Amino acid sequence: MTTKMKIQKISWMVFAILSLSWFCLNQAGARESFDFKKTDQAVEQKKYLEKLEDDFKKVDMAIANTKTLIDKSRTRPYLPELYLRLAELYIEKSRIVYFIRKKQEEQAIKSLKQVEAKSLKIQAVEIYQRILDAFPDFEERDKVQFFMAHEYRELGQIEDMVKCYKEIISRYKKSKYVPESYLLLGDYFNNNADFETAISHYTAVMNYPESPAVVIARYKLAWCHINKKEFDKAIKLFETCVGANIKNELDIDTYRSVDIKLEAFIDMAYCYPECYRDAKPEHAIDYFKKYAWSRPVYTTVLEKLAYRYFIKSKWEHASVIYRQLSELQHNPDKLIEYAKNTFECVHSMGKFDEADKDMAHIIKALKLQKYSVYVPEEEKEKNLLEFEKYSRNIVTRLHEKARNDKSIESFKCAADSYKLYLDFYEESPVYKDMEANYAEALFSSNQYLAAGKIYEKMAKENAIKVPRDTLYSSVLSYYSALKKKEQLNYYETAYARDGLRKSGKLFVKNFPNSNSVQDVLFNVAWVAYDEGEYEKAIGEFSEFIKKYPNAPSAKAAVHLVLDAYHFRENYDGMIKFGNEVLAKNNLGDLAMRTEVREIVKSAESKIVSSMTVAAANDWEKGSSDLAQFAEENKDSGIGEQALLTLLVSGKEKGDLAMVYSSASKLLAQYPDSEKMESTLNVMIETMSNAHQFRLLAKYLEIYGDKYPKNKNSAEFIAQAGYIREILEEYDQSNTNFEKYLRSGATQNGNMESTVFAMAGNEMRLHHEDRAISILETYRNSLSASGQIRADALISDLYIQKNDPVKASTYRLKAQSAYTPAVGKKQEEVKTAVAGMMYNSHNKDFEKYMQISLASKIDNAVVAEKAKTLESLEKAYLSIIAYESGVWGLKACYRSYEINNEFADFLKNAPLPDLPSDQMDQYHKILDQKIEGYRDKANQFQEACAAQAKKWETCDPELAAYFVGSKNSGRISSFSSGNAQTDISENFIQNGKLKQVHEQLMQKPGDSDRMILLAKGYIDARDYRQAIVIASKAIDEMKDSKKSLKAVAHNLLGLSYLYNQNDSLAKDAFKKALKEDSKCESAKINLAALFRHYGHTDKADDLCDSLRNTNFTEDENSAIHPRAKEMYNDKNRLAHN
Amino acid sequence: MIIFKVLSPVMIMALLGFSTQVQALPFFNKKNTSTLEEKSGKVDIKEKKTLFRIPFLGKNKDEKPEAQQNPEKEEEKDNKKFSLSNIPFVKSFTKKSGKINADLEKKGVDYFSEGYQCFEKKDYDSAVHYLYAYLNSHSPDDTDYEWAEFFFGISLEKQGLSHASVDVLSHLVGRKPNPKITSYSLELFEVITRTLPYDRDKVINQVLGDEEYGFVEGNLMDFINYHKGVFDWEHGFYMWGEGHFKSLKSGSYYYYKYLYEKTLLDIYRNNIDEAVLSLKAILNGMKENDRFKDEVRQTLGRLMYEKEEYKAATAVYHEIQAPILEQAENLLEKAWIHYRAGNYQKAMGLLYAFKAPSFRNCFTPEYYVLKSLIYKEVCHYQRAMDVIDEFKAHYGQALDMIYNREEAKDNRSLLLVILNKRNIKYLWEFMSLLEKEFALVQTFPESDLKAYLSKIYELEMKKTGNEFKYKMQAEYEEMANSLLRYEEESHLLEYEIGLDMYQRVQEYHYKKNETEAKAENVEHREVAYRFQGEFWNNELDDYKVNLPNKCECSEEWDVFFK
Repeated sequence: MTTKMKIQKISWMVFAILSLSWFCLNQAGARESFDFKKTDQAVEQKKYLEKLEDDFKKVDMAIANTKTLIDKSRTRPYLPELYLRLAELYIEKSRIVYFIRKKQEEQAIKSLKQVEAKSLKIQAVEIYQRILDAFPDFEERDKVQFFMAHEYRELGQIEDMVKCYKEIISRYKKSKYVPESYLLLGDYFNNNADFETAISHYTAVMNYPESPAVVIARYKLAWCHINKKEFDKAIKLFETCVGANIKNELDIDTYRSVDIKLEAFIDMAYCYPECYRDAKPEHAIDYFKKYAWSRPVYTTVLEKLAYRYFIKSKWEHASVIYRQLSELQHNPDKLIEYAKNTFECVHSMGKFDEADKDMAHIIKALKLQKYSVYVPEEEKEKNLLEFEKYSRNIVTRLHEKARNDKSIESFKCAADSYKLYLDFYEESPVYKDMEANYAEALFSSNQYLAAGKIYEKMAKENAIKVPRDTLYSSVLSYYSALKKKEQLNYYETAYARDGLRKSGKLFVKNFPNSNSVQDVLFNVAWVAYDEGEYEKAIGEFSEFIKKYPNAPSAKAAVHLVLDAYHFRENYDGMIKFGNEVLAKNNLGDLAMRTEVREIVKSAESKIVSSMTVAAANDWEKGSSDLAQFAEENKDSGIGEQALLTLLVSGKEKGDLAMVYSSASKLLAQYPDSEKMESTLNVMIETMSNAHQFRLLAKYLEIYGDKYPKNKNSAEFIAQAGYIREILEEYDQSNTNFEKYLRSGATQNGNMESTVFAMAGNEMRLHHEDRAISILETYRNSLSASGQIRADALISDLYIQKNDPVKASTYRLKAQSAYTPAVGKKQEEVKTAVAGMMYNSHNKDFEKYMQISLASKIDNAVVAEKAKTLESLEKAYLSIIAYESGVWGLKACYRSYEINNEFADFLKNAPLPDLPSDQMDQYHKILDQKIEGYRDKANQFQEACAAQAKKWETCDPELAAYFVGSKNSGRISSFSSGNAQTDISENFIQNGKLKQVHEQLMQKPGDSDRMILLAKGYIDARDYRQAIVIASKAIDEMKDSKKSLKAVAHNLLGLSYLYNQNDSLAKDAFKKALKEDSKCESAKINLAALFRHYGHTDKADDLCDSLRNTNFTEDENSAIHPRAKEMYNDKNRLAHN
Repeated sequence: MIIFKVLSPVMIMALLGFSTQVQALPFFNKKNTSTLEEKSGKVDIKEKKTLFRIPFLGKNKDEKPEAQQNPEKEEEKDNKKFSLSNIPFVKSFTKKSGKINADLEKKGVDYFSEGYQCFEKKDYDSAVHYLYAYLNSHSPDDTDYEWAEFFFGISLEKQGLSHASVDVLSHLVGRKPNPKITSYSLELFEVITRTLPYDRDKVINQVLGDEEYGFVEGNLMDFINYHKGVFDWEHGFYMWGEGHFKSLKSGSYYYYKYLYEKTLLDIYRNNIDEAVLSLKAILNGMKENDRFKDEVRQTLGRLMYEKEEYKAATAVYHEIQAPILEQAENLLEKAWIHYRAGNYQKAMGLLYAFKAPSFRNCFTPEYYVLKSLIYKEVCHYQRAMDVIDEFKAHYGQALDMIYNREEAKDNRSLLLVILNKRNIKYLWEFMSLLEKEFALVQTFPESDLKAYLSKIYELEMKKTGNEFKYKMQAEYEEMANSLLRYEEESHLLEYEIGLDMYQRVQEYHYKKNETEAKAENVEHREVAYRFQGEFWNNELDDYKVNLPNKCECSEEWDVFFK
């Protein structure tokens, strides 16, 4: 190490120590004092000069002393060292002289002034030479040679220098100065462009790996290769330099202040473009990043590299590196420079792929400038102007590219760049145009919300004349954003909604005639819906529908309104709206209208459901509210729903009155209701269960009428017919039967019974023609026995119509077809034929009774009468032979009558003109004859009475035949003159009936309730209803319930009694007793009936068999008052 | 340290740059900029001051200040604090200014020597004028130029113009002055970065980031290495960053700062256990007990919470040294910990502390959610519902404004919350600093120096204002989104409370017999959370409310479900 080096090192160390101690002292807080001394330049210079002069003197003195010492040491071994010291002192003197002269002149030393310094150096060289010449054994000859070479170089004697270095190399092979000599020789050849020789010398240094010269030699070697265009070799050497761990400071003259590692790294940037011609710029970035040891170093090398690429017009590479630099740097000047260069690259390439990044870098640079106080305003202005154009250029090109690519990513990139542009160039002359472009780029890159914001801002900024397209674009953007709501956060969603709403309203206000208004209005309303502002949505959509009923979106609007109502659970509103929609014929297609109708119904159900729930908790109030609701909404669907609910709930609750009233209202107010069928089904079931047969028949009929094609309808109609028949409502019954027959549903064998039931009803109504018509119509459809019966009835009816011919025709048919076997099998056929036969002789009977003698005996008349008598008697006997109870009895009685008549005829016959004795004989014979006929007549009469008694006949019509004389024998029915009523819906007013009906409705098969109901109807004088109820009760009762069944039969009998059907009453009472012989009420009733019809003994027997005479109230009510009276009378008599 | 003050809406509006007045500031347009450039002393300071002051400290007649009820408003306090009479050097300035002006007009006066002498005498207010005159009349090549610039920068800092100092010195350091100057400047930067808001771009990015300072040693080198390391990490240069961090002296302040950065990276990479260890190492090793250490504690507390180590988390939070009034966020986090640990009374106590006026502007929507959750947990359903209503009442207006897309500046209740956000708060504090220092500059007599310094501040305020505007808008949108999310959550909470009530009633009635006795015992207890009407700051995190669990007792609403 040279002295110079030492001095410098010490001074740096002192500074470092001082710095450190200062730092340590001042770490606690802000420094109060600083190591600065104010100096006077002139004084300092003077001091320095004085110091130099002092040094000069000292050196001079040291030279003199050394010379003296040399003189004294001529033979001493250290003499060469003293010479060496002397040479160094001359060199030092030379340096001091140089500085003294320089300071004195304060100008560059001219050649003349350098003479003094040079001569001193020459003196030193001469001394070095003297050492070499005089002291061949001096061990530091290599050093002397090395120093001499240095001085030769200083003196410009390069050849001598070279010679010296070569001598060191050749003579002192092991000297430490050899590698440095090689290095310095290498430098010499290198400077003379003798690269080969330089290379050989530099390479020679490598043989001394411990030498600090190696690092430099390698570096210089690399440069030799560069000069030879061998870049690959060069870069490898640089890489080694950069990677080398340089431990020692370079202690080599001329290289002392050189950072070889940094230099090598920077020079790699020179080689890289040559070595990696085809590499991508990103490779360069990775490459240098790998070798860089810090960011500033990395930045430095990239700067060199970028510039090299830039110079070589490798635009793409340069631009990529400049971009990387722009990321790393913060110095505004450098950033501006990078931006400019990048711009030039991009412009030259014509490629704007990274324009967004470039834009960001430009703005970063300009921003730093903008807010820096150190950049002149003119420069800022100039840069701003220049870069604004550049920015505008690249961003619009970027946009153009995106348009061509049609790529979302490209548009996004353009949009980002526009944003940077607009945020920074706030005063750009084309700000508005760029803003419009920005909005478009945003929209095209699916950044709808941001696009909407910009469009809206632009539209609002132009308040005087709002641009239509801009405003519409805003609406469209917000709408599009909301269409992809899943990509928005809460705030963005809220923003887009309000944006759409406000922009939309502004649009509509400004451009009411635009074709887009329709869509805008729809979407504004939709926003309200979308954000759950349903009331608002309803209002806006309703307005929309009102305004654009034919719009394609009107249908959607309708649905959304309905939805909104649904979300609000505003079913009233929904129904109202739905009905309004349905009322508008021009709104929506059939499918939509159907759907709306369904929705309305569903809504109605919901309202009613809620009321139903309320009613379930408090039926009285709830049902009343529902009923009132139904009334208030009369003739509307919701009213109908309410009634239906009342009907169903009423049924569940067992409120028959409610059921009936609801059903009645439904039928009256909603005759076309779709729920009619189910309503009727409910009513049929309810009335059937409740055993209200009049109403049951009514609902069956309505059902049959309304749904004639329903599979149950015919059956319902038939059942209604039968009920009506029992209720003696023959006309209505037949109407039903007729419908039934017309329905064609009579394949199951019940046609015949229906036909005869119809005929029977007509006959009871004395509608003979209609009866005949029915029978004739259906005759051929009847069975063989049915045809016989029909023929018999038709014949009988024709007789009544006084049409003997037709009567005869049918009679013959009936007669010819009838056999006793048929009669035995079918009682009705037998009865009909017997009746026919009986009535067919009515004319003959009347004629016979009319045959009488005038004033004198006319044999012909007598013969005719006798013949007729015979004929009639024969006929009546044949009728009796049919063994038909009623007709047999009648025929028997007629037989009595005709014989009695003939006896009278004979008795009243004029006496012939006979002598008295003859006359007496005549009288005697006549009397015998008369007696004969009378006997015969009496026999018939007795037989008739006996048979009647035997049959316990209780028929007022037949009573005459067995009770007494012809005139007085006719007796009225047991309950004659008893008024009766027909109770149908009025049962509701009858608390007792209503209650029992309701109980039965809840528990249809309850025998006790059925009996109670029958009693109730008897009490209410609706005997026919009672008959039906009792009959039904008997049918439904199990055989095990004999006593109850007996009660039911008794009630049936009682009802018949009241209904003046004594015969059936008798049968019922008898059945009651058959079921339960202890049924006291049946006994009393039957006994009274027997007594009424003269079956006294039987009546007595029954009375006698009575055990209990203390009847309960229930039992009392089951006894006919007259029967009770008779029973009491008899009891009184017995007690008396 | 600048105290964070209560903001007037005018200030917020101005900062956001939403006022047309701000946009129309003459200073910011070309014409006015050139006026300032003239250095003629003819700049209409009054007009400029007025125009510039309007947005920052002035009052808008149409706006009522936040603390209108309070006769001595915070804002007024601040203004008073920074009035001219409170600035020490101003009093003597009038006397001195005559000499300075005379000197500056003289020819041949050695401004640097004069300036340096003043500097040595700690007469910084005079020094800046001489030094500035020197700098204005000399080129950077002059011998004393660097030192003059340095002393100028230091004098500015001594006068309380920290930003101007940073601006001047960073510019100087960027030109690579002598190592002494560089080191002194870096030392000042080190202090400023730890104690004041500053321009990060200038100090960290430009000064530290772009340059190499191989000659600096010791703790100052730690400062440089730390920031370089952070910068490199932030930019993805992990190796270089690691290199810088490796150079940090173990156990030094910046070493722990580095450890904290590393911890954050660990957390980011989900290396939670490692992060916890690092944070503990920082807390155990670090001698300084400053805000940074509190930040470390807060982070550790959060991690412990995430790991469900509630006791440990509570202990960590308890060690936080910051004044309780600055711990609104911590109070809420502590409340969450207690809530998760099932300590509802304590959690509610912490929330109760939020009733203190000091925390008036620290409310977050989360406060209501947590409060409601706590009530729900102890079956105070009605109260839980009431809290939801409270939330709606408190934020109803803010929500309406969000729904109506009203501007951020108008949504005051939200702005107050946003200003407590770390990044915004920092910018706001920096803005306040600039504003106050600018006010100080305006007290200077008319001069080139005043114009120069004014320009430094105006540019910086505009830059910071812009940054603030963008960040504030972004934060506002984020906060608005959060509020909307909380609103949604409150709906959900309402539903859950209802559901919970129903389930609770079901369960209650099933086991009624078992619990009847218990219920009787608690029914008559007082339902606490009583407001005592006063707050002692040191008690704020010690409140514990009496919050009996009512899940075992019948309440009125139960009847509804029966």
